[in-house]
Amino acid sequence: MGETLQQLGIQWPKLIAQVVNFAIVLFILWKFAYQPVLNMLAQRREKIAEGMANADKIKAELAATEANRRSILDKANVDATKFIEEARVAAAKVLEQETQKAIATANDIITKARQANEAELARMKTELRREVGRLVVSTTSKVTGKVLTADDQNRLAEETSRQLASN
Amino acid sequence: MSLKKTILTAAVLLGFAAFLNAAEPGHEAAVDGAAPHAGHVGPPVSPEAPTLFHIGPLPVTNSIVYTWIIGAVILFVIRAGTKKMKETPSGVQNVVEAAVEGLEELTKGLLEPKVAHWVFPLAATFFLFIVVSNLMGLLPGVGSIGWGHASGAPFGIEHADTPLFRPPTADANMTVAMAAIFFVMSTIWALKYNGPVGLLKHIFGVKGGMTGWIVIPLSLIFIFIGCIEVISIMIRPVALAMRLYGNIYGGESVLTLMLTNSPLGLAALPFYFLELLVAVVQALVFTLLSIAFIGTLCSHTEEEHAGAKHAH
Repeated sequence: MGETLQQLGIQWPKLIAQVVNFAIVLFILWKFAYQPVLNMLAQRREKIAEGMANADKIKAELAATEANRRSILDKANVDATKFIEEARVAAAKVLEQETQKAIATANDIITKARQANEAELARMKTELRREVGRLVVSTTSKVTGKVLTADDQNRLAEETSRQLASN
Repeated sequence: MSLKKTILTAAVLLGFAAFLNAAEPGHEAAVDGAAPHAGHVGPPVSPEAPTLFHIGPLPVTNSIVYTWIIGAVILFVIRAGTKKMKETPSGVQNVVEAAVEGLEELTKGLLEPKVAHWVFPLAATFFLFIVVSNLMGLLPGVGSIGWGHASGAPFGIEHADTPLFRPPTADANMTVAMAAIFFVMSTIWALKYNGPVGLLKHIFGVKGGMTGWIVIPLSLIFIFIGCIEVISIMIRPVALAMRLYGNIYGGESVLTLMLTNSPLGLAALPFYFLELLVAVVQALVFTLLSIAFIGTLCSHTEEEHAGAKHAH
């Protein structure tokens, strides 16, 4: 055993020196390779997991937003239809009211026109009677050659008016 | 720019080797384990790593020197890859990340998550250090630049009896050191995972979910099996160390033989391809066996699982 160790050159000082050398290499690798690389890999794994979780979250949010958008659109469609119907009803009602108002106004105008016509007619009749009375007095005075007094003229004119009115 | 640096480094190394060769007579006394220079006898590569110099009482072998260089290369590469880490990796960062992640996945695939967390740094370092060491051991100059019997060529030597560099995995001190670290750490983790009593039960306990009187004779058998298991546990680090050392030292020897005993060393070429494969395979074997051995000590058997579920 001792001879074999001697042949292989295994001696405590050399063995301990190599143990120390290997320990130094182990420390170097641990400090400058394993720790930073494992930390970086852990960070990267964390980021990937976070990214995937975010992607899932975004996907879910997108689906929720899409559903929300659809529901809003459906509601808007329903509301729009309702508003259009209401507007149509309101418009019909307004049309009816305005028509009635126009008819009333037209009737009013016609009534007023008729009244004005009647008044005008009456005024014209009155004037006609006066004119006819005046003509009767004038004709009578010319036919009879007699100068009529003021009383005669009044009486003839009134008589003529009365007769015309009775006709 | 990097090509210029490489050429400059190679020139410095060659100059240093030449200086060492020139200073050979004075150096002879400082080198132990080197073969005599007047005609090389013995194995093509010395089984032990020769001592180059001493720092106080500590002998510094050529494999220790090369371990420092390998450590520096590893430090340089990983600093280049992880100094300014980006969210989107590129270049050296990609290589370092792929290596670390791959080794982490390998460890997690073979061990329970808790145990994998403990074991990963050591297992990954085993793989990275061994693979870099084995591959750097194949670089030109490693094992061939050094001190030896002078040849006719200027600064040339016939055989590097004391090479300047030697891959640490071709030095039994390093493979035994790694195996010792494995043994100590696997024992600590086994005790941490099972507890002292749990570990004894794990090794010597009656398995198979037996109950009743049959347990008494079976326990004797399982104590015997446990003793064999203890021997197996003790042999594991030896097997790990000697397998790696034998493969890499054998490869070095074959390459040296082929380089020195064929025209222009061309016979070594196929063996270089083979050694490239061996470099990676041996690193993987050492790492996987370390993980598997730890896994046998730090895992619950079926009945222990069932017992734990009942207890809950």
